[in-house]
Amino acid sequence: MINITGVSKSFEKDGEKIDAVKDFSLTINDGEFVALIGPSGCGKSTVLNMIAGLLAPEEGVVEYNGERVTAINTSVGYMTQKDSLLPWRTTEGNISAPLDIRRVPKPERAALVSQAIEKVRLGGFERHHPDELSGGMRKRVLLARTLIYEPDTLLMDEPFAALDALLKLVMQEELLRIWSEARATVVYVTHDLTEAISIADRIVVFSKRPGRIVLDLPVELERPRDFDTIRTSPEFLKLYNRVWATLRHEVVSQEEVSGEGR
Amino acid sequence: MIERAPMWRIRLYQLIVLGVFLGGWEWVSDRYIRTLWISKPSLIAERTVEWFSSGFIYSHILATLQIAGLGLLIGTAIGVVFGIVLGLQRSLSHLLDPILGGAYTMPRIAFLPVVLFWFGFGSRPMVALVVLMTFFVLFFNTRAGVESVKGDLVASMRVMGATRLQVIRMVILPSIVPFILAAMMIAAPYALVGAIVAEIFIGSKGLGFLIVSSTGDLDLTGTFTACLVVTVISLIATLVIARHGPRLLGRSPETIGGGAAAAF
Amino acid sequence: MLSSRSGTTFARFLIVAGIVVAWDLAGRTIIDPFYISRPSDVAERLWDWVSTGYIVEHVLTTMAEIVYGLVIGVVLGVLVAVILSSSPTLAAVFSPFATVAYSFPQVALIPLYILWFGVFLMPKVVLVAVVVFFLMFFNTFEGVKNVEGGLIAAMRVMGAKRLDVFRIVVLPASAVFLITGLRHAVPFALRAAVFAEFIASVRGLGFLALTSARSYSSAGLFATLMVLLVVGVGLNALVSWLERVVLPWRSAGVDVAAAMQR
Repeated sequence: MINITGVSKSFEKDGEKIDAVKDFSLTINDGEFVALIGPSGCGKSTVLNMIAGLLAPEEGVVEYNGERVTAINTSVGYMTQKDSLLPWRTTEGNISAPLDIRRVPKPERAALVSQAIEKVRLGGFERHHPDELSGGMRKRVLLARTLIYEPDTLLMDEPFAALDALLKLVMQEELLRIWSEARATVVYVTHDLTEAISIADRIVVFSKRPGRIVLDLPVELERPRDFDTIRTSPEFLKLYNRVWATLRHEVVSQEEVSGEGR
Repeated sequence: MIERAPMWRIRLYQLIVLGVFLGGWEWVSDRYIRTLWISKPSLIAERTVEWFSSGFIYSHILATLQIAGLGLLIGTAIGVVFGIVLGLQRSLSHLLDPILGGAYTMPRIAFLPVVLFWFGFGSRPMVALVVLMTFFVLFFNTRAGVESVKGDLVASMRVMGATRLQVIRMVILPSIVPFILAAMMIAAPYALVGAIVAEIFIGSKGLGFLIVSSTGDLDLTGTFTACLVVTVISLIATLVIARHGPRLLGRSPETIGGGAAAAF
Repeated sequence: MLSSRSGTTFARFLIVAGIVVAWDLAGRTIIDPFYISRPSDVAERLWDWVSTGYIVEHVLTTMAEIVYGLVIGVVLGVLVAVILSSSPTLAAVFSPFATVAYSFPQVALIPLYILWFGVFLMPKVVLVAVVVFFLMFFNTFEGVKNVEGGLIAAMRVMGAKRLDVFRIVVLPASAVFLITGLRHAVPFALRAAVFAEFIASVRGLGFLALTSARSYSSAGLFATLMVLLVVGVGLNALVSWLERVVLPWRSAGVDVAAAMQR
């Protein structure tokens, strides 16, 4: 269980103080698949970084399983948009990095790694270096590396944003397939509404900066979900319109305020 | 937590580091090492004020900038002409590529005796060295600029009845201007270093000459003061280019070469 | 395809031959060979130097300056950069100092080094080391800062302690920067050594070029430049070979800094 209560965090940018989130609260239950969605720069990633313990809140408390997060939180797995593979390690070497860190004995490591490679369907690419893999394959390696130490919670920050639309769809399905076995808690940051509704149990919509929650909605679509049909179902469309009405307001007003944005 | 400290604390640390460095230098000088060998910050500060208030330094700065500027202009002119010619003659350019590449890896500074031999003394060999140092950057970038011009564009101009010269004037020249400007910005620090290096070797005035003559007179305060002036000039150039360069160009083309004054 | 390639090679050979012929003709007709020598004179001088072994001493002197300076400069530059960039605060504190040091033309200090360290090997090694140090420091500093952001945070969340981060990320990354930096630094080391020899020396290729120029021997001058070219190309080849042996995963042309930012 993740409890975020009354948290504020600001950044300095060009000598100016910018509030990423202000007096922000959110509770995430075990096993939940939550999508955080909102206009870019609204503090979604800041929230993830605070759960991971990479950033400390200026005010408020982040609790993980009832304990206050004060150092880097090693019970979570963190997958970012920027791929953090070690360029000098092979697929195998990259996936076994967390086991290496946890001092898992070598023979045991090999078995776990080959299992993980099978799970993300990378058989045949064990000895390839990241430079020799396609974008989608690198994401699979990252996913395997994040899952291999069985973290209770997966933090995912637009993990597939850099992929093209078709590949993104494939990776989302893979993620759901693997998640249905692992059943970890997932906090998934995205700015793609269709993606959020198709994969999550619950959608949390952020306001423009500083981030507040403007909508918190369960997604009552049955699992396992069929990606071929789900996007055209009436329930999906209803949800989509409902969330979009809120999200659109935030995006439009952000554009008017800052003049930036895409 | 791997966050950065707030800005005011970083500024404070920077002041401390600077203070420790200058203070340590000042303190060591004449206590452990004779001031003759390492001078000291207070003397350098005094000399800086003296040079600027008496106007002594200006003629030297001017001399260095003249050589650097003149060399950069000539290097640009030659580089641009060669760049356009070889950019248009792709097959010739392709043939010459390894030879040009080989010439490029040759340390330009090694031609110092050559320019001496050919141009004698005075400012001519120094300008020649700066030309050598800046030529390649201008040449490679101009050629890249010409090659970046879309073939369709040229073809459509030719179909409209433009002659080769008209194509060069109306399409090629305007589109390589940003490349040339960018290359000149990259080459500017090279020009400065080239001028200073040449002055150290054969100069009779200028900042490089000040460095070498002060050292020869065992006046290390003069050496360090001259170095300080060089640093400030090169820093100003770097910062001005970094801040105003992109705006000046409008867009920033991919450039070839680069690096700062450490390059020579 | 093959025939066109060998055709190109042949054409290039013709161009080089053409340059040599033009050089010779120019010396016979429009330019006084006093200034540009003759290809045959240069070849004769080269043969003379090689067959008597006269050139060996000078090549070895310059090589020693370069190799000592390179080793000291590269190792210290990478080390200091890795240490300074191991914390974002430390990196921010030192970054303006690095900019200042980098924008100063280090070669200008050679008169000072000669005053401090004499006219023999020492001042040249110092100059080469200082030039290489700043070059390596600056490049590594920028490079490692990028590594810090993605890779290290990812490792920390996986449970890596500072020592693990050092072992798994910093050390291999430093090896990468060391080797790639070496490639970058070699030409600068060569230039620094030759320039230092111009200012004050009793042997070495810079000394040879200068004494040739001073005794109005253009054949000697151009012969020295040829030797310098060979030394430069040889050093480059050596570094390329080292790169292939130490970093076999790094296919040529892949920008490591870019790979790490991904």
